[in-house]
Amino acid sequence: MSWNTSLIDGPIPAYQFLGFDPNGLPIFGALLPIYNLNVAPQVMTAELEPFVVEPANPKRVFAGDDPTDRTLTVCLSFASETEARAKLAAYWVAGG
Amino acid sequence: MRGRSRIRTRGRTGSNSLLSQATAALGAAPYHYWDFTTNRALFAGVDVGAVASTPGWSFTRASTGYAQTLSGLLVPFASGVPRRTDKGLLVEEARTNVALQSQTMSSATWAKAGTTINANAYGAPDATTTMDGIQASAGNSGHYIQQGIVWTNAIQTVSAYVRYVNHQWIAIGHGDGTTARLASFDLLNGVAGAVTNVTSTITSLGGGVYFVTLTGLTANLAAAGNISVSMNSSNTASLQTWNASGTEQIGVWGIQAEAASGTLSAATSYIPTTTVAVTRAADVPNVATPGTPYPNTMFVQFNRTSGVNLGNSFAMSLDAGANDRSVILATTVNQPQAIITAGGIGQFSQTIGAALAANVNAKVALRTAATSANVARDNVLGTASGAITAPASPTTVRFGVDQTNANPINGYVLRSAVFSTGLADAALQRATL
Repeated sequence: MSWNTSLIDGPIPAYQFLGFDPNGLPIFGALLPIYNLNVAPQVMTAELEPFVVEPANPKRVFAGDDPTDRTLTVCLSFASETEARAKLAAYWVAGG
Repeated sequence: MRGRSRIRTRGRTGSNSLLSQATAALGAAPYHYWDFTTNRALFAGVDVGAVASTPGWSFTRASTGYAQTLSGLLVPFASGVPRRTDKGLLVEEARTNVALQSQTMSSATWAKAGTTINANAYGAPDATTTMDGIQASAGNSGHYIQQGIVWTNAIQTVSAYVRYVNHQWIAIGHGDGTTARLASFDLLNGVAGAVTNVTSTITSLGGGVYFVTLTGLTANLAAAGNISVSMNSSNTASLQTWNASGTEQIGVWGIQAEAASGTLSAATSYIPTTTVAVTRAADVPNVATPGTPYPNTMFVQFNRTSGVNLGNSFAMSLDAGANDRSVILATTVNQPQAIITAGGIGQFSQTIGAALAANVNAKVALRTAATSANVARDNVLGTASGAITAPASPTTVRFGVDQTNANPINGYVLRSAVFSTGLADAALQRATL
């Protein structure tokens, strides 16, 4: 079983953000104990709205999207994989 | 005569009609036929025009993507648009390019050692002039560019489009802070050279441009990991120190670093990046309600863009879900195989022919009939079974994915067809000629 990769990307590791280095690149610290997914807009429902986050420095986006003005990528953050699978059960699918 | 057979007489039936072309190609008239190379479709014997005009057609991919033409041009496709070119329909799994600034070597993301960048100096494979030149600085030193990467513990593939300008040897590497993994390439002669802890490939795109890849297991999670592109003076899989005159130059574009996932441990199509990693979502092409109960025959012509495979990769599925299906796939050793399952119980399973090499087309046809099943590949007939239990009538035709829309072929589907009868052995073989 895995996420439906045509519409969901993740889990995406998130690190503590510590600022920028002299080259303007972000500096990351420890891995955060949260479960992040990027989902396509058509996945979104009212039930998922509370889990939407707007990271200032997203780690990744769907191809074709603008990291600073996302339209193809909705970033969701859950407390755990268990919570994510409960909220997105239709997209947790079998392969093979 | 069965009612649906009469439908075949509708639409254009002249010698230049799609039905005539399909019949000539396959040796028998198909009920449905999709030619992805020319974007033409026949549904229930009727020429419906473009593939996307097929009744019941659906396609999802939640991102943009690139596909290649027969001439090697990379063509961009918008989110949700099938990646169809004259090579066929490209169907791939999701991948993420973690190499940032994939075609902007002048960015501060790329550290420079003994090199300068000539931005947008050469033509790139997407017909834009965005390929950067990397020029060695005069003196005895290393001459490379490098970017830090936080790897995941997985088989990683790094790929790039590189151009011979006036310098023969390069090495591309991905280290994880503990083990160096590098591959040397000869850009003058288009030959893969020495390797350290990786396998490598080089493919000519013409005009001195090559697509190069290196694949190896990155065993450590290491913040000190990196990707490097080094200009070397000889065939060595290292970041070589050598005395440059200052005129040596190569072109580099489209650097990609991707972890193996799903079925493939090799490079997939290009995913441009700037400031963040970018994910290309999976392709899922389906046709609902094909109306082709058993007995029937399915046909698919396809290739895989890699000669390696981590798991079964599916070229075509005619199914009513996971328990009732007829599928054509490439096995873990890249060998074509046909499987029929009815009520969750295997009825027929046969591999046929040698393993598929990268980018080599195969034609496979599968007959599913209660009296007998059989498979043919490239004009070679398999061994017919005895009586089988036919699966429940199929509800979906899927191209390049399995009955759950997963495990993609990671290659191009050129043509596909469904016949409304179980073709006899001779006709089954002829369809794959």
